[in-house]
Amino acid sequence: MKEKIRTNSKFALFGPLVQEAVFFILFFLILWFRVRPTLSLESQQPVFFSGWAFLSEHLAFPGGLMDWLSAWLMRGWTSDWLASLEITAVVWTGTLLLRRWIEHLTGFWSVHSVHLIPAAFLLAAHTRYATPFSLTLGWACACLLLFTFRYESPRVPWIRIPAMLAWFIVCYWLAGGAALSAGIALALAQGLVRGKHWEGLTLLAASAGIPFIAYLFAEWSPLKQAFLHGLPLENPAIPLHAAYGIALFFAAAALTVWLTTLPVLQKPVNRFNEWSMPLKWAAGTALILAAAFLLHAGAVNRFTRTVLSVNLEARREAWPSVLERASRAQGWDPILSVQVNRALQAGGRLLDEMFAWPQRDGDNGLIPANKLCKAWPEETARLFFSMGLIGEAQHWAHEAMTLRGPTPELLRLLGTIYMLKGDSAAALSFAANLAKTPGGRPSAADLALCVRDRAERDGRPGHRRVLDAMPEKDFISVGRPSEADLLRLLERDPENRIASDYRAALALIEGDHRRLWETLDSGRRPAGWEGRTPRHVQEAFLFHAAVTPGFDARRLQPWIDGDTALRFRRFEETFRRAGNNRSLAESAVRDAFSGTYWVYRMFDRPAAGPAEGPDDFQ
Amino acid sequence: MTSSDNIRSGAVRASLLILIAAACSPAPDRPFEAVSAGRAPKIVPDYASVTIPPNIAPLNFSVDEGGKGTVAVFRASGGDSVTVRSRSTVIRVPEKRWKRLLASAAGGSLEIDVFVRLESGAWTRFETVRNAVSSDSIDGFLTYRKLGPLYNLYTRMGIHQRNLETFEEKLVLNSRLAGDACMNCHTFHRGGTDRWLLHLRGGPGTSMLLTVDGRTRRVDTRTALNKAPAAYSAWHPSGEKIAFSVSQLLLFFHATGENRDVLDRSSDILVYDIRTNTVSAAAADTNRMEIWPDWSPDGRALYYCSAPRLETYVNPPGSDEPFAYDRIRYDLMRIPYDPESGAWGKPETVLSAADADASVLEPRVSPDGRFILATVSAYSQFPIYLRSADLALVDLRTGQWRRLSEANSDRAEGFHSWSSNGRWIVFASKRADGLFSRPYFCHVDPAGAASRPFVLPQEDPLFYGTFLENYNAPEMSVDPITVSPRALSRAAFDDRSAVKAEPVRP
Repeated sequence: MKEKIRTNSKFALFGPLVQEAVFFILFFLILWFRVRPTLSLESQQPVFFSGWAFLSEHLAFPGGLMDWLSAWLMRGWTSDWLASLEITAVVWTGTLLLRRWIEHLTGFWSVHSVHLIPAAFLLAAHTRYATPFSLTLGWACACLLLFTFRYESPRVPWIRIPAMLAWFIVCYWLAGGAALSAGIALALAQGLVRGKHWEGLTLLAASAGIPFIAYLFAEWSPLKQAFLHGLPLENPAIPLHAAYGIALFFAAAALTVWLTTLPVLQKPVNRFNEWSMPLKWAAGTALILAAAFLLHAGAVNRFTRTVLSVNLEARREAWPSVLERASRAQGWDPILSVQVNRALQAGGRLLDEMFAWPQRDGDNGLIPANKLCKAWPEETARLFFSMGLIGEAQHWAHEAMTLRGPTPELLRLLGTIYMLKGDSAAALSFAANLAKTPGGRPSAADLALCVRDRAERDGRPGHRRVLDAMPEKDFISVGRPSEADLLRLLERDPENRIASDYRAALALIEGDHRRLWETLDSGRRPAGWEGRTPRHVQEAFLFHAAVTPGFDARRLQPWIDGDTALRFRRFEETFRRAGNNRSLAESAVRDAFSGTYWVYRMFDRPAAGPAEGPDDFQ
Repeated sequence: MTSSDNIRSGAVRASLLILIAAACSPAPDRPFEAVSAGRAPKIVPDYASVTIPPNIAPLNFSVDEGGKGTVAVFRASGGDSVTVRSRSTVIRVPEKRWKRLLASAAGGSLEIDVFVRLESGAWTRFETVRNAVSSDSIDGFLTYRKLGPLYNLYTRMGIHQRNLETFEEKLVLNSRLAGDACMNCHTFHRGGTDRWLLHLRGGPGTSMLLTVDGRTRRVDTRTALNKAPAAYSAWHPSGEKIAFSVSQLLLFFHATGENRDVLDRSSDILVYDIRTNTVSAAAADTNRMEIWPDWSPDGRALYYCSAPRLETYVNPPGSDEPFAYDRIRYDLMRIPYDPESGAWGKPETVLSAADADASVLEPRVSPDGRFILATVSAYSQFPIYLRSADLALVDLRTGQWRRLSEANSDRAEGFHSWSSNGRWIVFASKRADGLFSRPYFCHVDPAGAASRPFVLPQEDPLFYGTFLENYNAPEMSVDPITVSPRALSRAAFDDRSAVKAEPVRP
């Protein structure tokens, strides 16, 4: 075999490099355009603070340093291409180190394709947005451990073995379980392939014993963490095949190399070696590229991607993008309704277009109830903040901080809430923490400026709007904000457009056109309705007039456009043609009047579920 | 030795010298010619005019006066002194020298002269900071729960124990080891750690984690008498019984001001007997809500708080609020108890809410039985969320009470406890920012006068400025907790040793 490779020495030298280049260019492009690592940041929101205290917390347990590094690097994942480049660079580096280890183990000059298998699994893992970068960093660290074991110095065993153990312990502390997977592979390699049984046994014992010793010292840590932290096996979001593929690849590689040395397998191995190098290279390249793409495609969860994209755009207040992303959703979730309704409101279209979107979650998709708030507390907090419900915004921002940790976004939001409430000391505390996050100093300084300078605080349009909207008189809530709460907001500030729109939307979504009519019959147009009545409101009024015996239709005149009235007559006609039979009319009505309040009210309005009770306090 | 060895050795020595020189590079010199600022320095935490125990950890502080160097000269009344120089604003006193200093100041005073080097290079001298050092020692350990601002959700919380003489903090138990359980209300028997308990919610099972003579087991305190599990516990002086409250609490939210508030919907006080593993009623009037028990030191009376039942406060339909939460006020009560027979006497009012014009809560009887330290707040049974919550001292000898104005602030105070010698109190206070509670200490003299409080010292004096968790329910103990976190965790999950309490029907 060696002879054969020598005859193709240029190919042996450059073949794997070319293959890696092709593979990793595709790897990078898939990450950039299909996975979008910014969504991993949106999903995980890692917490990172500068300073020794935060670092020392992470140095206290195996694999902690990789978590620390990962949190720091991931905080910079605000650009897809840059984040993709980062991941690609780390995986490629690890792959290079891995190739050199396998080459050393086999004694071959050239290894191709096989060493790319973990990279393919890592691509699949990163396709799931819950995969932290620490997994990849830990894996690369394990590759470094393997690579360094190529050097068998010092030659004296009684120095080499302790030195080897010391290096292994360092790597274990850096990378946690990832180093153990390399340790087991090294044990197999040294013991079986290289015939250094004592070294193999020592490494095997170290791989089992050192985590146990770490567990004994770290009183607060469960045993499982000492072994698994840093391995994909501890993360249920990663596809199982990828998790096991990454964790077991090193050991499998060592075992495979050992198996090829067995006499019984010499014949097939030799036969395989007779294939020409370019042929094997081409076949390997095709296989690994196909495998990587299939693994990635199998790990894609389009729905999660849509939800994360929508939430990310909502966080950026890029409302047209929210609607654009949501329009591509395959499947639906109440949080999408919440974000779509918020985006529609921000564009002044809520009461004109909300029924063009799925509203199957009813009022929960407009003003989230307790269960949905718990699932998406930060998103809920931002919604309530925009309305002026500062107390509920504070409540859910704190719940979010409990679940996600003190992320820069939450520190900024909470700091702003306390600043607007006039709790200067608390606001400064959040500002001080914000200053310790990557790139957080300017925001922290700005927040501190607004805390100290009232004119500065009140002069900002975003602050002014919330200050004008937030309640002055206290009231209490034990569940989600109700219509009464929205009314209180409107009493405080009749120009609160969000409260006004949401109040009308709530009546619409509850199918309570009577309430809507009664609250607006005074003739006073709510904020933002100058000139014309929103389309869905007109539809609801016409519906109300039609189903209310003795209703004087002339009263509708100030509210209704001619077009909508005409359309409603056609709607009534369609219904009559079906013999006023709801079931028979459904198909025709849906075809002709989709996206109207009428279709929602007649066919899509969800039945009221049981009210969610408040939580007990413990 | 070869010449190359010589060179190498010389290089090593030179490097070492450079390193040592760098490490010992001159801190700012003593500023003999400083200009007086004519006022006291602003120091963080505020360790001025306080009384401290002779065995407390160093009161490290930061001087909030700007500048590029600081010198602090500590002078004990006994003659010892320590000078600390700093290139920053942070003053850290080495532990050994601090101990010597306090030993010299015990029963006297500790004065601190602060000098700040301005950007211009000139020095400013501030007026002397004077503190008293009591001859009364404080218990060596403080146990508290660290958790974020508690709303409904929690993911990471832990009970920790701090050595008050050093900066060492050890974990007692955290939610990770306890199967993501919520944990609360750690309580010691007479300030010792032979017998102590904490409560778990969720995780391995809602229960009391009870340690008796070093052995821990899980006790499910829910019986036919009480659907709710035990909370707010108090050890009988005999160490054989534990009074606790069972409550149905509801967290609700305000639109303005302090966001959180808690409503007591129903509560009673029961007693768990360790020997018989039984639960019996203590103060469980169906027309009242009873909460926050504490025993008298002789074990012959139980103090607690009581208010008319919730139905009294329900507003008629159509009202703005469903209930008049802000009218619910608790009286401080006492019920006699005969430890021999287990018989209860007739409840009597010690301090009524009407007399106090406040809700009287969290009574803690001093070890000598003379005082009750309580919290008074505008309403409610859960004062730490209320800005109006203040400490109050009830003199059981005279029946008089007063707000402990020496210790109070304009923010919430509560969750207090006494040291075993009765000369120190610790309490949680939100005075710094209104959001995060920190443990503060006061000296209390035999007549009940308290000193100005000081916050638990930290190695990094700026620690509290960015720490986003509460120090909840601080309790002092003489000894450290000896059960390891892992042993507690094992006990929490050990179904074989777990017991379910039996009810004793009246």
